Amino acid sequence: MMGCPIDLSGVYGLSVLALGITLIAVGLAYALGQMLRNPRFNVWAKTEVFQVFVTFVLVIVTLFLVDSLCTFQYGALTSLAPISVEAYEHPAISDTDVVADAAGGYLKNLAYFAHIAMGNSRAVYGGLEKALRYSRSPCMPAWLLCMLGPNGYTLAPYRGGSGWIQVANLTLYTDTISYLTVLAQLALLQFILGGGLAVLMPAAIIIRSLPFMRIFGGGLLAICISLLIVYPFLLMAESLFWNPYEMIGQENFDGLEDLAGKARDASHSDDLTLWSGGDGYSKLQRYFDQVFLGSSATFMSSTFLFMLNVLVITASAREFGRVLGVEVDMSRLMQIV
Amino acid sequence: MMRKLLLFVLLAVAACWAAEPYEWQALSIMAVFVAFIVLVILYMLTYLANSPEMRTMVSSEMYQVIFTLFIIAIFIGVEAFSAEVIGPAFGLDFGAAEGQNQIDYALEVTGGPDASDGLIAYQWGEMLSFANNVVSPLGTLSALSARCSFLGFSFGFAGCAGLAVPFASASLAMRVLSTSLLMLNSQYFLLKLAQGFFFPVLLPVGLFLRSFHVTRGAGALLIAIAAAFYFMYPVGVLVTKGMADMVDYPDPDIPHFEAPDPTEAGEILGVDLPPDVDCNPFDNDYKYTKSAMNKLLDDDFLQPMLFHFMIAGLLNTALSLMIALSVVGGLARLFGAEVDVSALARMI
Repeated sequence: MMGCPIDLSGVYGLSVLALGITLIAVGLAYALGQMLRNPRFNVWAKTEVFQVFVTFVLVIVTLFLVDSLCTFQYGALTSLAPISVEAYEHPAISDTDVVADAAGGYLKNLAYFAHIAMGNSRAVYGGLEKALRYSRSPCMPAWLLCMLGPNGYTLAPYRGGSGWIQVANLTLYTDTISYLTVLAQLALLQFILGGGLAVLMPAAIIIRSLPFMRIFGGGLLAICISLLIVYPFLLMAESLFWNPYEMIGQENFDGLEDLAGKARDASHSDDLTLWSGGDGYSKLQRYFDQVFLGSSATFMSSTFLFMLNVLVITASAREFGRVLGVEVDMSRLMQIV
Repeated sequence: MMRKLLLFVLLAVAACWAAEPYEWQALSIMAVFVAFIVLVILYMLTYLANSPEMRTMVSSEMYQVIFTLFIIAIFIGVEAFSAEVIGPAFGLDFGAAEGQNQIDYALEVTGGPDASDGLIAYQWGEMLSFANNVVSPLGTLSALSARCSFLGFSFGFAGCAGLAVPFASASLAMRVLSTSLLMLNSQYFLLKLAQGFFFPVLLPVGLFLRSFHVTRGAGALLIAIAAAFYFMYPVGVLVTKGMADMVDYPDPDIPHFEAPDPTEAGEILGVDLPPDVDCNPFDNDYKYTKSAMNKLLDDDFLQPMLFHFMIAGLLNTALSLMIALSVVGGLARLFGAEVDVSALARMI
C-alpha cells in the first residue's frame, strides 16, 4: 500500500515558521515605513498581513484535510455507501486502511481490471494471428494414397479472421490507453501523497509574500491545495460509488479473467484450436462479447472519469488562485492529459 | 450513533449517505445546511477578529447559500417535470413504459451487457451476421489457391486473389462497426455512471462545495456535470434515437458468400471444389471480384448498414455526448465556474 510517508507534523511546524518569518519581514517593512515616513511601505505591510493570514488559514485547513486522509479509516465510509470493501480484491482493501491507502488500492483495482481487459484483447488478437496463418493443402486423390503429390487446393480456413483482428486492434488500443492512464493516475497520487506538495506549501507562503513573487507563490499554492484536497477526495468518492467489477457482473468478469489467464499461461497450447473445431467462430464471438464489455467499462472507469477529475482539479485551482489573487490556468494541463 | 455524529461534524456530506435510499434532495439540503452552519461560525469569528471586510465577505456568501437552495428547488422541479411531463411525453412519442424516467428509458433503449434487445444487441447481431456471412467467407475465398504439378512442371492458380479487394474493405468495415458498438457500450456505462454516481453523489457534494468562495468553481462544475449527464444526456440519447427512428430504414439485407467449410476437410479432398462455393481458383475470370463488389455495394445492404451504424451508432452517440458537454459548459458558467470542456469533447 501507498501510505502517507510524510510526517505532516513537521510541515505544520514549517508552516508556522514560514508565517513567523513572513510576519517578521512584514513587520520590518512596516517599521521601515514608519522610520522613513513612507506611507507606501505601511500600506504594503497592512495588505500583506491580511494576505498572510488568509494563506495561513488555507494551508492549515489543507494540511488538516490531508492529515485526515492519512488517519481516517476507509471502513467508516464504506458502511455508508452502496459498495463494500469486499468488492475490491485486486488488491483487497481493508476496513482499517486509511483513506489515502484505499484511494491507491482503488486505482490498483482499476489497473488490474484494465490489465485483464487488455489481456483479453491480446488473447483474441494473438489467437487470431495464429489461426489466420494456418493453411492446409490436402493431398489428392485420397483413394490413390496421394500419388499425385502436391496437386489441388490450398485452403486458409481462418483467413477471414483478419476482419476480427481489426476489432481486436481497436479494443487493445483502447485498453492499453486505459491501462496507461490508470498507471499515470497511480503515479500522480503517489506524487501528491508523497509529501513534496505539502513541503512546497510553507515555501509558497514565504515566496508569496516576497515582492514581485506574489503570482508565482500564489499559483504554486493554489495548485498544491487543489491537488492535495480535490484529487484524493474524488478518488475516494468514486471508489465508494463506482465499481467496474460489479458493473459488468461477476460472471462476465470471471470469463474475462479466464481468457486473460489462458493468454498469460505459456504452456497453454490451445491458441490454434481456440478458433478451430465445430464452434470455432462462435467461441470467438462469445469472447468478443466479453472483450467489448471489458474495454468500454475500463475506458469509462479509467479514462473518462480521470478526465472529469482533472477538469474539477482545474476548476478548483482557478478558484483557489482567485482567492490568492492570481489567475491559475491549468487548462493546458488538461490538454496535455 | 456516535460515529455518525462525528462523521456529521467532520465529514457531513459523506455522513448524509447514511440515509437509505440515497435521496439526493435530502442530501443536498443537508449539505447546504452544513455550509450555512459553517458560514454562521465564520460570521461569529469575524466579530472575534473585528474584521468588517471578512464580515462583508461572509454575508455575501450567505446569498450564495440562498442561491444554492434556489438551485436545489430548480432541480427538484426539473426532476418532477421530467417524471411527470417529459416521461409520459417520451412514453407517447418514443415508447417508454409508464413510470420510466428519462435515464431508465435511455438505458433500456441502449441495452446492456445481458439485454436481449436494445441498440447494443441489435448492432451486435448485425455485426455477427456481417462477419459470418461476408468477412469470414470472403477471407477464406481470397486466400484460396490451387496448384498443378506433373513431372517437374508446376502451375499455381490464384483466381480468387482479386477477392482480397472487397475483403480488405469488409475488414475495415468491421473496425467501424466495432467502434460503433464500443461507443454504445460506453454510452451504457456512462448512463449508469450518471444514474449511480454523478447525480446522487456529485450533485450534493457540488452544492456543498459551491456554498464556499474558495471551492465555488469545483462545486459549480460538479453540479453542472451531475445535472447535464442526469437530465440532458439521456434526453439527448432519446432524442437522437427518435430522430433516427423517423427515417424508415429497413434492416440491412446482408449478402452471403459461400466458402469451403473449414470444419469439413473432406469436402475439398477431390479436384473440384463444392459446386456452391463462390470462387474457383482455377478460373482467372474477373467475375468473382465483380460479383462480390456488386453484392457489397448493393443498396439494400450498404445504405441501411451505413445508416444503422454510422448514424444511429456513431453519430448519435457522439451527438448525445456533445449535447451533454455543451450543457456542462453552460451550466458551469451559470453556477460560477470557468472550465474548458473542449478537451472532453476532443476525446470523442
